[in-house]
Amino acid sequence: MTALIEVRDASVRYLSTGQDALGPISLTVNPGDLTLVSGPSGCGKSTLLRLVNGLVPHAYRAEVTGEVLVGGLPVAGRTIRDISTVVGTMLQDPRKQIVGTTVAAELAFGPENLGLPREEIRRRTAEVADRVGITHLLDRATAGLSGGELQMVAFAGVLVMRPKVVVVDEPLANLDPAASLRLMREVRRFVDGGGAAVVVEHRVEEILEFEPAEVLYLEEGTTRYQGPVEGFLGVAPVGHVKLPFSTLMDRAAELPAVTGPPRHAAGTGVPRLEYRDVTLGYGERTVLTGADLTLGPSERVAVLGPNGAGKSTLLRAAVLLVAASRGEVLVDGSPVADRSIKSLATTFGYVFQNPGQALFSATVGQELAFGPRNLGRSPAEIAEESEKVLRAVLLDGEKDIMDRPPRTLSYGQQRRLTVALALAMRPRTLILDEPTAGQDLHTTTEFIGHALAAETVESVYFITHDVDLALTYADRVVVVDEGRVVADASPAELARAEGVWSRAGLRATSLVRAVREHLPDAGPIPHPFDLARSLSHHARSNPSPQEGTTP
Amino acid sequence: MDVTPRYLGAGSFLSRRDPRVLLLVPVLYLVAVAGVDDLRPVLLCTAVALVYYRAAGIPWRGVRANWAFMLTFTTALVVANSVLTSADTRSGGSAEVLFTVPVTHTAVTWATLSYAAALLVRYVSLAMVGFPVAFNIAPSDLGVAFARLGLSQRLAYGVDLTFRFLPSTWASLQETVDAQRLRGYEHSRTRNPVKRLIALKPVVVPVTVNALIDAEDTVNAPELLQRVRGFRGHAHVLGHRQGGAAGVRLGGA
Amino acid sequence: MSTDATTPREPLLAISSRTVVFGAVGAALYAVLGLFSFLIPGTQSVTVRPAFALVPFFGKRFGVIAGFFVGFVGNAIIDLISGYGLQYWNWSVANGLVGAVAGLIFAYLPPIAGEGLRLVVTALGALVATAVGLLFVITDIWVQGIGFNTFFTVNYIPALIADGIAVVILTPALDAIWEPLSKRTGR
Ligand SMILES: Nc1ncnc2c1ncn2[C@@H]1O[C@H](COP(=O)(O)OP(=O)(O)OP(=O)(O)O)[C@@H](O)[C@H]1O
Ligand SMILES: Nc1ncnc2c1ncn2[C@@H]1O[C@H](COP(=O)(O)OP(=O)(O)OP(=O)(O)O)[C@@H](O)[C@H]1O
Ligand SMILES: [Mg+2]
Ligand SMILES: [Mg+2]
Repeated sequence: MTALIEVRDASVRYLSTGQDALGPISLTVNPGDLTLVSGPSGCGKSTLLRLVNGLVPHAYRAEVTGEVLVGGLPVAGRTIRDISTVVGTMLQDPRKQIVGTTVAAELAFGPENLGLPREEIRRRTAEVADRVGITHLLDRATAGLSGGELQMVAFAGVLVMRPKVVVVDEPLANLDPAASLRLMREVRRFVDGGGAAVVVEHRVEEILEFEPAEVLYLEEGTTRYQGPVEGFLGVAPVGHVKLPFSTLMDRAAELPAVTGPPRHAAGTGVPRLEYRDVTLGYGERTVLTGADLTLGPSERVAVLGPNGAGKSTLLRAAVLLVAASRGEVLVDGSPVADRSIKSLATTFGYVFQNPGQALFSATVGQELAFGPRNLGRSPAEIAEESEKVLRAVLLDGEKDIMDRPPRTLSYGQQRRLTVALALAMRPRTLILDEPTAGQDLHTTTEFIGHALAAETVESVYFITHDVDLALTYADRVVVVDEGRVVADASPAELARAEGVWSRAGLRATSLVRAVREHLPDAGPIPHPFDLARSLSHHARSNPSPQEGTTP
Repeated sequence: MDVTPRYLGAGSFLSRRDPRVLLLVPVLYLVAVAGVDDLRPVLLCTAVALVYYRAAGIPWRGVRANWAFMLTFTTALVVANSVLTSADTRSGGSAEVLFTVPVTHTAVTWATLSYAAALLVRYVSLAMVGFPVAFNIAPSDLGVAFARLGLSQRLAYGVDLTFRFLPSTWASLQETVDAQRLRGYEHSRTRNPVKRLIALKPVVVPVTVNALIDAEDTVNAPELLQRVRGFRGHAHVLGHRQGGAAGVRLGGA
Repeated sequence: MSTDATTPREPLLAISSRTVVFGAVGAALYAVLGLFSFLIPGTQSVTVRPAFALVPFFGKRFGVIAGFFVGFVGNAIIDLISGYGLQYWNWSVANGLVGAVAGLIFAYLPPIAGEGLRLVVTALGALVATAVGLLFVITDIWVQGIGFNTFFTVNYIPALIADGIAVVILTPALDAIWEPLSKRTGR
């Protein structure tokens, strides 16, 4: 049996920058293998995948040394198309992959071009859609899909092509835990059906329960660890990889001390944002109904919920990007409809799910000045503010950052810049839509920490799929599901509310279970590290990740 | 707002024809009537055009606005052309001057008027054969139609791809406008065209750049490369596309 | 076959999948953004369509074919959406020619290092391309059966003014932003 993928100490150097991005590294993937690739942002994961699907060196100008075999044949001599019949690729950002106007058209597209008969196309499409659980989306326009819905569609689009091995780049980035489970189940089934998969992912815990045969941990392009899961859990850097809680307890001794972000004094009684029996939707599609919700002026609120539940829609209503078709939305006690966009813009700093959306200036400096200038602030004021906000989002370190063209920053940096743009308006409340999607644990912690610490900001409302993030940093968690607000509680209470975790879209993580078992009902939840340290002495009484988390 | 062509004539006689027909007829008709500017033959052609137009079964409600626009536009053009600047240099017909236009002092004769009428009617008939192209071809079939007309497979695929990009482009435009409004951006009131154009940068630039950057990866997505090659494949599925068209209209909403 | 993510230029008339995809992206952009236009105050016929600036831009950055494609298909779609079929097909061709000419001009110009100079040259090149490409509208004399004066005074000149302004202002802006990104790849 020849290996599907065989990489022999290969290394990659991108010619455009002349820097080594990867290697030397080796990797073998046989039918039936599920390989997990992880590592901090910028360590070369995507590059490895490009090496395997032939984009490097065929599409990206890069110098490759060493050997890369796909399906037993060297990549060098073959075309991307030829390789793509063996390796199916799912890009990091599904938007870039989906070229179908409707989901149905998207799925049918690949097979159509293989010249398959119509019945066959219909069969494949229906089958894959059903398996991946997107049948209800088939007639929808891809443009109107929510972040997570897109990702499932993209994966389905890869599966209908029936490749031998799929390489998947951070598939879970925008998926709710349940969807992640569904997606990974599909990957696993594909693997068990004689295929193979290489999965790049930061959310290690969610992959572990699918028993990857091998874990490859990269740092700065070189292999830091390669081997079975058990060994990995032993050596993985705790600050950089999100490990199962039980592992944290086993390694309690080496956990670094953590200082949570400072808490702001409770503000006045008038709620910052209030929904009174609000109904929201797009055109005929109603997304949220009968939402009653009150968010305080100095609260940290996390919004959880399945993909497409309406989380983004809910918070977009706060800045009038969606108007309530029923009920009313109040900001600081007055109807949002009466407020000018500008006054809203200084009340809420809104950071969109997709970073690049607003960047248009030639330099970061000009970009930062745009908003404040629209508010008529003085250049001096603006300059000073800009410095401050860049510091707040850890970008001040970058070399002459002010003169960099914004879009040449790395994806993670662009995300942080968009937060800086929001902060530059001196908002009293920060609204973050999935701020940490696709970022490694280290960046996430730093980033959220600083966002919460920014002094002008009284309150932060953030949407996330990362349950642990919500439990750790929010003092209140709101769960949106099936167009309604289904839960609104403190992290500790939520962890206990069995009903919530059994719902579609949410799953109890090992941290949730630990909290449930070891903490009193009320009161804040300590940082996982602290909790692990304090609990480490009854390590035995805790479930191992496998038995604990298998569905 | 709907950014994708509307597919109105579904199920009508013309809609069931090969899209190529709908593309070729207007061209041929155009050639046919190009020279004719005598009222009677023009009316004859128009009668034919009308029959053709009826066969398209385009609901009147759907296109009232388009007709209104088209008529005002062409009337303006005709007046400008035949009456104001007396482009009609033919002698003959009755040369008797009916009246002279104040500013331009061009003399208006029966000839000019009938010529103007012929011109106007001809435009209308052109529109009649033109509309079915707009409303009776499922957008997703256009690409295939071009391909079958001998256009390069790849360019034909490009046409197809363009229609696929329309809704997402529209969506990203909306998103960008939203994002900028939250940064205090508002559409400039100024009447100075230069200022207005400059004021559009915060919207035009990011939408364009985002589209390009995404394309940079799309162009490298392996199965896309495969798709570009395999475009001929579409020929198989003409017709099962009407479903697609429904979605396409949805896209802009 | 291998597309090259790092260099926009290719053999003049090559139709790579890069040409196709960028052509399609451009056409879609032009079609969507092209739906917006405004009258120049004091004139009846001079409507500025800001998105027109995209046509020479794509010609410059992605070559003759892509440029033509963007102008032709983009304008055709705008016509389709606003509902008058393809009867003004020759205007679509003219739009396409603008893109193609821009592609040619900049293909033969040496790359310019100086930021400021590049902006000026881009503006001028785009303007020339517009002036040349739009000349095709002379076919209106045959298509719409109008006189030369009408073509020149009612059709060509106003179009040239309107599109000229858009091109001179927006094309260099777009080009300046894209310049540093044109080499950027990956993320
Ligand atoms: N096309 C490219 N040209 C030049 N340098 C590149 C290119 N793509 C990536 N790089 C650089 O190579 C290194 C590895 O990039 P890569 O995208 O593989 O990281 P990654 O592990 O996928 O990061 P992330 O987790 O953020 O996706 C980074 O320093 C990046 O800046
Ligand atoms: N502009 C739009 N037009 C039409 N439908 C939309 C639009 N934006 C979102 N929707 C739909 O509204 C529903 C809620 O979308 P929303 O983005 O609020 O979900 P979400 O909870 O943020 O999901 P995710 O976690 O995947 O981002 C989804 O079904 C989505 O398809
Ligand atoms: Mg990556
Ligand atoms: Mg969302």
